[in-house]
Amino acid sequence: MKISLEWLRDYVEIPAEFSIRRVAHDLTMSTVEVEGTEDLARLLDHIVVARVSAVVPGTRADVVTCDIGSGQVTIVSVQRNLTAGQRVAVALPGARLVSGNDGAGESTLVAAREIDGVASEGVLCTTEQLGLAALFPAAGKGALVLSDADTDAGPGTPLADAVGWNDTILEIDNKSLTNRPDLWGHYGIARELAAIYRLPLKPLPAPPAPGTPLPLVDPAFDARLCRRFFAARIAFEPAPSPLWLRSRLARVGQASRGLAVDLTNYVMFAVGQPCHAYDADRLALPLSVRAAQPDEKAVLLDGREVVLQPPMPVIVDQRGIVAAAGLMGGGPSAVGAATRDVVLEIANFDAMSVRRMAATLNLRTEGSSRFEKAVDSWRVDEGRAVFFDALARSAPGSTLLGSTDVHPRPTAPITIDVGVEFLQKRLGSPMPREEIRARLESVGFAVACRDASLEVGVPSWRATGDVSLPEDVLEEIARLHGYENFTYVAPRVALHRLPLADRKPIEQRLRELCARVGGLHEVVSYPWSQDASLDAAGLADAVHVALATPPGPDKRWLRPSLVPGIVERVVENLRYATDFGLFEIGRVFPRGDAASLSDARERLPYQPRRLAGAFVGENAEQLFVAAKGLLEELGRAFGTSLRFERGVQPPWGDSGASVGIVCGDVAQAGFLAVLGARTRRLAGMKRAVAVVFELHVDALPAAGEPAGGYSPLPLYPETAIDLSLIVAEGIAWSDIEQALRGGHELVREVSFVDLFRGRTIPPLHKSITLRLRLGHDARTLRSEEAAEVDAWARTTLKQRFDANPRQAESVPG
Amino acid sequence: MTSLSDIELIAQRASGRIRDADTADDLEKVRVDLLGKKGEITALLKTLGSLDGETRRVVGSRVNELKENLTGALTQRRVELNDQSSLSQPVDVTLPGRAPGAGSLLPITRVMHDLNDAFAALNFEVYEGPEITSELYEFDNLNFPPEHPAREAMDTYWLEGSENRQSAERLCLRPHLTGASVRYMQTHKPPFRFVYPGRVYRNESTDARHERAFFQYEALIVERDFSFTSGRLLIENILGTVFGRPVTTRMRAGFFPFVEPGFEIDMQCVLCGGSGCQLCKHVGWLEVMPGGVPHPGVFAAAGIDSNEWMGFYINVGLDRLVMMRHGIDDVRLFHGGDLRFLSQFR
Repeated sequence: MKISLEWLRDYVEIPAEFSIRRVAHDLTMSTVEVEGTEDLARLLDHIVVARVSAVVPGTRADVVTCDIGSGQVTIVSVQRNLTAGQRVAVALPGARLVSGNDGAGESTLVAAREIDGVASEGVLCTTEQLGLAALFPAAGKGALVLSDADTDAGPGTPLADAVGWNDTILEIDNKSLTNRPDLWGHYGIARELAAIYRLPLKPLPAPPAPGTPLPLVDPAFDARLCRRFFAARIAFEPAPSPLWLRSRLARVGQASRGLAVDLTNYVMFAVGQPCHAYDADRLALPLSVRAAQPDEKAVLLDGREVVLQPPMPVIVDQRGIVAAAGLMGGGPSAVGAATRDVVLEIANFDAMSVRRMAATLNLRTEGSSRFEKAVDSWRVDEGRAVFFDALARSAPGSTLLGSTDVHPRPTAPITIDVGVEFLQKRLGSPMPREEIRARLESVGFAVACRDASLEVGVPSWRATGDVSLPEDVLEEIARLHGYENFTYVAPRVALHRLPLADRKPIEQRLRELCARVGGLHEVVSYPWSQDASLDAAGLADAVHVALATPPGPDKRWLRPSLVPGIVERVVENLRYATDFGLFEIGRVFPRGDAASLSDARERLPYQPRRLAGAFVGENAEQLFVAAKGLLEELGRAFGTSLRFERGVQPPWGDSGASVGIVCGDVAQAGFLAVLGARTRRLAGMKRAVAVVFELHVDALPAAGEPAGGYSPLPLYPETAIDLSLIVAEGIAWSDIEQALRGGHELVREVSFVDLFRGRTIPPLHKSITLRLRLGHDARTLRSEEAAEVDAWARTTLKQRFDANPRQAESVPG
Repeated sequence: MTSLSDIELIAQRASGRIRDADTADDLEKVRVDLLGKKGEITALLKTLGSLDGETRRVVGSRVNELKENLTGALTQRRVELNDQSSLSQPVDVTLPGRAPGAGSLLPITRVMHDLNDAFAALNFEVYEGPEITSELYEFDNLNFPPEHPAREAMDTYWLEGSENRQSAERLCLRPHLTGASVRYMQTHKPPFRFVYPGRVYRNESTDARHERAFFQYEALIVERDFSFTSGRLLIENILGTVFGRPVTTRMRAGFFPFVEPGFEIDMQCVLCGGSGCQLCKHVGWLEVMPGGVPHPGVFAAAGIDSNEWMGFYINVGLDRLVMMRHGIDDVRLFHGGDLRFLSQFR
């Protein structure tokens, strides 16, 4: 929202020595965020009013001589609408003109130069070049010609003076205004500044006498939609909108739309009360307010046709809809240049109804933005006062014929009892009662002292939801005192039995392990899945929870697993990299028992945590053991063990390399698999191998610690023997391990050393090297015992798996 | 004819060559040159026979002494060279380094972890609320008026099938973290202090500055006597820990339904130090976090007597903080999953 400093000064005498930076800062600290300021006069630097002395037509441009007060200048001008005697705006060297055609474009610096052999000492400006199109909406093509009605400024007058552009604009962040319906006009901001600087706030003009009662409004309108409806009939003297009025509106960003409409806009920007002017000749009075009927059509001011639905609030006359209440007037009843009989509506519409209508129609207006913040019904009186004052100044020949004011649901007064000690304790300051009172009164609160408490009357403009509690009163005092002006004291905290802060959260520990031990990069994906990715991962049937208004038509399902997202990230990154790993931790939304977490009525979907990751490269077996190694390490870190169950295959896994994860006593704690062929094909993964895992985080003991077990070191030296054997591909390491573990009293440990396939190994076979650690608790081994164990192991494996020794000479290298 | 002074010259030169030999091969070559069959010293010994008695004795003794010295020097140099390296080839020490297990954490995660540590040092508990939650917890309990726009489908992701229900039966992806604070308060007895970081969701279009999913970090402290002036010190303490140096903040009026009074907390611009630059839009301050005193309506929903207890909320938008910290110009990079970006944050 734009606020004009010049306009504010109508209501509060801000000292001239206060810089705009200071005003912006003080408003930001106490009231609303000022996003920026703009010095309008600077935009018109070096641009002056000039009188055309002579025009010499040329073939491509005219040579125009102008009186600029200090002398004559010659300008070669492509604008050819000028004749001697007219007053124009001349940009002298050093001026900056808008060069974009929408007024928001870049600026060009004006310089003296020679054009077609003639020295040109400036530019005759169009309204667009001046950035003043909103101020002169009626200006035709060509250079701006100033009218006598607008200004009597003589040659040499700075244009900024002539058009009221000696002003600074405060840009206020609308988001910081949502709770303050009183601040949506200059008077409300002026009230704040008056309070901040402890200056008097000037009263608004007095409202006029209501005139003859006229049946302009049917008093039986729907009071749920409209708290108050004031209407006045005015014999209107058609007149151009005066420059002062257009100028104020243009400076706050509102283009002139003719006198009657400009006056209604003026009221809105002055006191925040939207209002509307109708052409009485096009109405079948009286007016009323009701909810729209199903599929009721209306044509609005801007020409758009809208289809309205109950309970959208509409204003109707005896024939039908004449306005979408609080949003926009109707097209057919709009005032025009010739309108002489005007019905003025200043009403108060229900905030939620207006907002819902604006949202449903996807149409927001200055009026609806104000009504939806909940304007109080007494604001209508301020609106009346400002309107008729401005009307008298703009079109003195207009007269008020009469009015109707129906006020079925006035904004109710609010009184709050606040303890002084309550305030002082929370302020952290022994602020005296009189200072508290002065602070509150400065923004319109009525304060009466009662022993240890204050009886605080809330002004009507703050009584529509903004201020209703002692805490609201506290905030008023604190912000007006200035948060920066309090002494900041360290808290005095009684050390009751505080919870011993847990060790790091489980996600934090898992993330650190994945990055530091696994070498994986963390990614995050949206919680919704793409349909295609769900299908690729074979999870299209696993979905359970959908969004009502999804971010895309193919993104309505919340992810039942992290894997579809992981596969997407793998495929995307394969464009740039060949060997990498990534992981994600997050919640998923598969089928499962709904939980009522905190409230018996609340049934929340199952939303467990998962950890998923991918190891991407060329060698499936190496990647698989890396992933498995990481998972085992995670288990160890939490003091549990992860085991891997063969014959369990996730829908996205390869049948040749899939296992289920068993975590402690949780049997189905996830999957580890080479990404399957179908998933690869559908996901568009054409190269590399990905080993993907997904682990149920909640299967890990959250507070688990690495098992700190100790076993004594062997008392007698141990020895180790290595065996290299050739077995068929179908023989798994775990089969061999099981066959040897516990099979001989001297075997302490069976460990895997190496797996080899190659030229020297028969087809469909592989060579496995393993190590047996041997020892005895009570004595040193004899040398022949190692040979006995070696023979035992070879025999056992030969019998069980037809394992043959690998010939030493066949070992490469 | 060889004189003693010639021998001294040879001795000096030979010692120099042994000292200068840099490799075992070089040293062997020096040995052959000196003591080999055709070596210099060997040749010298051969000339002794042609000398007369006394000269032969003097010169001969000097040459033998020299031979012994050189043999010793060669042995010593060989040991020295052997001790220097066992490599068959030297390593190219200019090759780029590669850290084993060098993965990365999302830069937002890193700040989250830093904040966890900072708050843990102040004995805050870590809590986590559900990601799918209800209108009851996200809006009703937090004093959002019934007509608040955030309750509409255009702002919040409601779940299909529940979007037209009310309160506890109207479910959504959490639009902020604050709802979880009431869940905690309902199940714990004050005083308490806890943090509850996480990802939240808003139904809006994305661009370089807007995301549908973003990360927040929220903390709440509830004590019998905890004025907002103390809350501000807490904030400066935490920010100082995260940024590793004292941080200047300012506190100004702000509005959020669940706090009263509410604040915006600005931090002096990290880039320009307050003099004004592009990052801070020339105001010298960066908006880093809203905060405030829990609204009595929120305390009531949580079953806490607001006459007895005082509290303070802090909410940090992590995406913006991280963008500031690293000079990242596009918020979409966080969810982009591009390792060229993510792997920069090791």
